[in-house]
Amino acid sequence: MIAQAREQMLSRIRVALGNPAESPRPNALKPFVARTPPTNGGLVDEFCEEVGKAGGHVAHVHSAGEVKKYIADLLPTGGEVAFSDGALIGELGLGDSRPQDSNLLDSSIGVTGAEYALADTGTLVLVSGGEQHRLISLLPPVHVCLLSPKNIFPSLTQLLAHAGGRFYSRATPPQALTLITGPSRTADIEQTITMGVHGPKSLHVLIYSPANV
Amino acid sequence: MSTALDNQTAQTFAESSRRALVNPPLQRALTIATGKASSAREAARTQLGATHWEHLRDRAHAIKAEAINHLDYYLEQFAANVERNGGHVFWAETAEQACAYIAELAQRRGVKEAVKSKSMMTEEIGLNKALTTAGVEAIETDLGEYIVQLANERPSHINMPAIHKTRSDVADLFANKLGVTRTEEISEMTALARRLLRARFASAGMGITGVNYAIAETGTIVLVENEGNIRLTTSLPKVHVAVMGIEKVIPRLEDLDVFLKLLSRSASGQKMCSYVSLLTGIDISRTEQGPEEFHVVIVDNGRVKMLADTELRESLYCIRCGACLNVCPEYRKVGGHAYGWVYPGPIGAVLTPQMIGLDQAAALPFASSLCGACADVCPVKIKLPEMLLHLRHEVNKTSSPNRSIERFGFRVWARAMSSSRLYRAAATVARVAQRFAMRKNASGARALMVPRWSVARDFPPLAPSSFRKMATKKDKGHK
Repeated sequence: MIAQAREQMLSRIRVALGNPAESPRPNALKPFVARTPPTNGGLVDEFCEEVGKAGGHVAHVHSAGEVKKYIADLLPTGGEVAFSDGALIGELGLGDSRPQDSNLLDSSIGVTGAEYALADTGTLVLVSGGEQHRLISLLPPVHVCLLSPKNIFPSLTQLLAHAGGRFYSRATPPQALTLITGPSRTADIEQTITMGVHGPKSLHVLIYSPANV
Repeated sequence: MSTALDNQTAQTFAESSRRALVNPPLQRALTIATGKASSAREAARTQLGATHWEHLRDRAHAIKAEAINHLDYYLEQFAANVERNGGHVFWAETAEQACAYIAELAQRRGVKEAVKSKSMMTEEIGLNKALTTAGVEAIETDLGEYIVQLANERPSHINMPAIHKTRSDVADLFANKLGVTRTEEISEMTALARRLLRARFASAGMGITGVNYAIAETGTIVLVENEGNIRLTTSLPKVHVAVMGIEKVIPRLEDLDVFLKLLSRSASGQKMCSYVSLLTGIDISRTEQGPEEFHVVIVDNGRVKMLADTELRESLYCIRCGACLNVCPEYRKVGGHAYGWVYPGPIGAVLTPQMIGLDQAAALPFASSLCGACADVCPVKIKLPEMLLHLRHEVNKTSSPNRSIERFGFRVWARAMSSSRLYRAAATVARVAQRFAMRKNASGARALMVPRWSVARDFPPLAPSSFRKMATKKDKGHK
């Protein structure tokens, strides 16, 4: 029945297009890079500036200790921290063994990694499959996100050109690829910007590069 | 054409717009919101630079042209990829079919509550009503849409649903409907909505969203938002249903960036909206957080007919950014509800007659001064004024009796203008006749009185002597 409904809809579309026979494979458009004009500084500087403009905070950290201290300073008394299973979090020995979802609604801070970031818009790119990021980056009122500077790309076009094929040619492509630019916000009442309507009220990006050894 | 919506029709534009004009709180709300949105858009465009902005618009137009002109190919590819990744696809020719599929799915899964993100598509097919009839409570979770639902109204803007309400209106509404202490503090009202809706996200069995872009080559749907309610809707409930018009498909992953850049800037002046979710199928191994079932409902509801009309086909390029509403002098004065149906503003005046029938919405193509501001800002370069003119022509072709005098007048005029002898004779007669139809206009000058037409316009009278006569006289004098 579904196959029939599909064929009916597609054949009506072909008639409407004045092309009742099956369409030929269309020619691809010429390549195009949707990159907004770059700023003078490097990618990291540009990214940091854009995160700030979008209402997020950025800090540079060089050790697990610095990350822990940053989180501790943000944590209200008696607050809980939820960590994702991201690679950088494991590497720095930050995660704990508690099950992830149980305490999530009561957590004050959610900590995840970001697989990639985009400089031109100050955007974090979180990819499911490698990391369970969807709820930890969304439910707690504060989201802290760890990022390695080498994973900052100029724009989404360039990231997808680099990694899109790899993601989507897999047998199971990532179910959710989430782009995060600043905290959750709304302007639905009198166009007045208010942070933290459904997602985090504040976003902290920690750019991690190991201290020089 | 089917509309499962209440009895509101698009026929009453004149009456409802007059009501809007004498509603001071509405006028204040519209001025604030459309003004802020337009200046934010303008600032974002300026920051990007005119050349780059035009590149993006041309590219977006070209991508849409490619997608729409090969719609059968890309839709089939998209649907096949959704199914390959473990999702289900339902093809709905009508609004009723789409609603019935979703309502039955909810019943089969024992769903009592469904959380929804803002979706014009589900407004268009009247999904909330269908769900209620099926015993499923539909809960709007976008703050603006939540406000509109509490007030039992319809959104009055494509992406700012509660644009017609002031903070004081919302404070009254929350106090009355939610039984909370009245506050006009926007942050407190927002926090209240967050708290109340969190509980609904946790208990709902189904999440329903629209679709901003459907990527054919991967079977991915893309959802753009600022609040985070779409992310909650698509990650907490067990079943996710996404409803899309056939025109939402774009060919490739690499096409997405162009649209995100244009949409964010055009809608709210942001470089990128807070959250963009690229959702692809279902993880069958269940190692990921997220729904266990994913359904895409692909809806026609009159769109194939739009596709067949080459004059209006490009109205399917619309990405629902709302920029044409914010700059439209008519929309800014009368607001969205005056348009009487789901889609307001210039794009609504083009879409509505095509979707519910020209006879049901004959006034809308005329609800414009044709100033062209909409076409100037449209991120995908839809020629809205040309389409409005085309629709006006279509309306006048139909034999509506109250247009017969106008049609007769224009026929006489066309005949007179095609022959210089007739033109001179007609002008002589008109010079005599106009003496009986003269009045003073607002600035004290003489103007002709033409019923209705001259209520808000001047019709300058013919000069006492024609230019031809004066020229001939002068010419003779020189000899």
